[in-house]
Amino acid sequence: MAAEIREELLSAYLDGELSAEDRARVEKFLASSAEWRQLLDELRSVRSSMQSLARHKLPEDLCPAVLRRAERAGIGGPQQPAAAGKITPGTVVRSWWSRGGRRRMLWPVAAIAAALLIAFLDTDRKPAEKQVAQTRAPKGETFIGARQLAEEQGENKSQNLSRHPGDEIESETMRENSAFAKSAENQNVPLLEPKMAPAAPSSAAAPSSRAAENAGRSAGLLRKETATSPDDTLTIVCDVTSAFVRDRGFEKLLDEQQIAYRQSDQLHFPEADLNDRYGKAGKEPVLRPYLVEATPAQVDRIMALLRNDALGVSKVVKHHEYAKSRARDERLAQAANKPTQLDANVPARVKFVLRIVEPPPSSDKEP
Amino acid sequence: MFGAAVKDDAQLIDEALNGDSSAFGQLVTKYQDRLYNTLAHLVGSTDLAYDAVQDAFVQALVKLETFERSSSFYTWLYRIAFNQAISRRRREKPLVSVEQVQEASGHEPVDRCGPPESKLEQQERAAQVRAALAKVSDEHRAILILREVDDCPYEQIAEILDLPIGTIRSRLHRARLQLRDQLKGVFQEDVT
Repeated sequence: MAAEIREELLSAYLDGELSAEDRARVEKFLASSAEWRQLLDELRSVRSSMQSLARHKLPEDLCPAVLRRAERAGIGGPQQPAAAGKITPGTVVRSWWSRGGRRRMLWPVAAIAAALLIAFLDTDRKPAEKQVAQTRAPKGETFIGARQLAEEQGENKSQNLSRHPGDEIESETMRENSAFAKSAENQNVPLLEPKMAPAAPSSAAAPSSRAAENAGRSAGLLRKETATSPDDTLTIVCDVTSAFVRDRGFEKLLDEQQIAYRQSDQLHFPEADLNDRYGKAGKEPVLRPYLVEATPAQVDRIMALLRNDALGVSKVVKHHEYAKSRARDERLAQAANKPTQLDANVPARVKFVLRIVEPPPSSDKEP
Repeated sequence: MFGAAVKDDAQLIDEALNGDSSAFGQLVTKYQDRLYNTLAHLVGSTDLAYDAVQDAFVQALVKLETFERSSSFYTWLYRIAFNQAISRRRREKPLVSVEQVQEASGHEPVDRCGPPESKLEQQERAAQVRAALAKVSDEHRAILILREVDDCPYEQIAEILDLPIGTIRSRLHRARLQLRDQLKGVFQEDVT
């Protein structure tokens, strides 16, 4: 053991990592030991051999690719109007940190206060849903601000998720994609849409909380469902009229956007849960699930266009974060040894569920 | 020198956190080659290293707010990249080995110190070293590369690998002895 310790000092001596005292001891021992001098020569030879290895250099600057991928992950935020479409080195992009970072610290406080008030008033919730109620205002709707604040405070996300029989909380996915989850929230912010319609009348139940939520964000935004779905697919639930369905409003919208879709006959959670989460649509709501292949930008576009249709569409709720379904696709593809592409231009599977509900009767006076 | 580098990185990080993506771009440009070189030797594949480096920078940007600055930025970045590289290597077989790339490109090794040798001799020696290095255990290879290829001081290696300096010292010594033995075997095969 003593010999090993002394030998260990030789490597440190070679590297200049010894104290003055230890260095003196080693040099004294080297002077009297041919074996040690031989070992020191061998260590020098090993070091020389390692230093003969080639110096690899990247063929290109990674900066553009890194910033592009970060932008797709939601970091970087919307670009300045002058920066036409691309993030390049030298382009000053006001990221969501700076654009919303400071304001985010203000409106979540107001949102929390409103949410707590609603939680106090919402006394008929089951215990398991109380946690969600703290971040929920109108039925089926949640506040991003409260959730963001919870995340910033390092709370376990699973505590803020509603749990329903049959739901699976993919805590691993949540942890893995925590950064992406935070960035994915920004994907809920629609692209600047000049034609963005005002919030639908049916969701005007909590003006104070709505004002708090909209503070710092563009008009017409957005509730975010904090519940998870068993199969990890992004699902968007839309309350639409029968006329909208009869006129094939959704299909026409997708055709105009040249987005592939097909009708689906499967829901990944029970209809009862659908009603419970998104508000009662009727005892037996008629549902039209669609499977859509869309990129994140296309999903935002579809949601914006749906919200624009104030007559045919009364509610549009994103059920699950897009990043998670894409992360899942990536994991599956990797498992199958297929090349994966986290590319903004590569569509992923998204489920749209149209719930046919009729608008409330008009309250206008008869002429 | 080490302290001066940290200060510059801190400024760039602050600017990046304030929304200046070009500041993070400067960090990428500053460290990409060093990181790539280290990882290429660590995992024995330039393709894996390329992906791992890119992934690491993206992860670093995504998690930049969580960087506590108790270590240098490169140390923190390297740990991300190290984990990425090891994970990738475990999942995938290296598509192209370092040796294959060098043979295809005719890339000449750079001998930073030692007697002058012909290019062919240098290439042969580098190939022998790579072969010997591949036979060394992962933990020994990592510490050898950090020290001999990346010129990291013991303290930085300890931070990266999250080990006490005493362990770094003893492990590095054992790694050198192991590589010495592997090189003897390679040289003997060559002679016979």
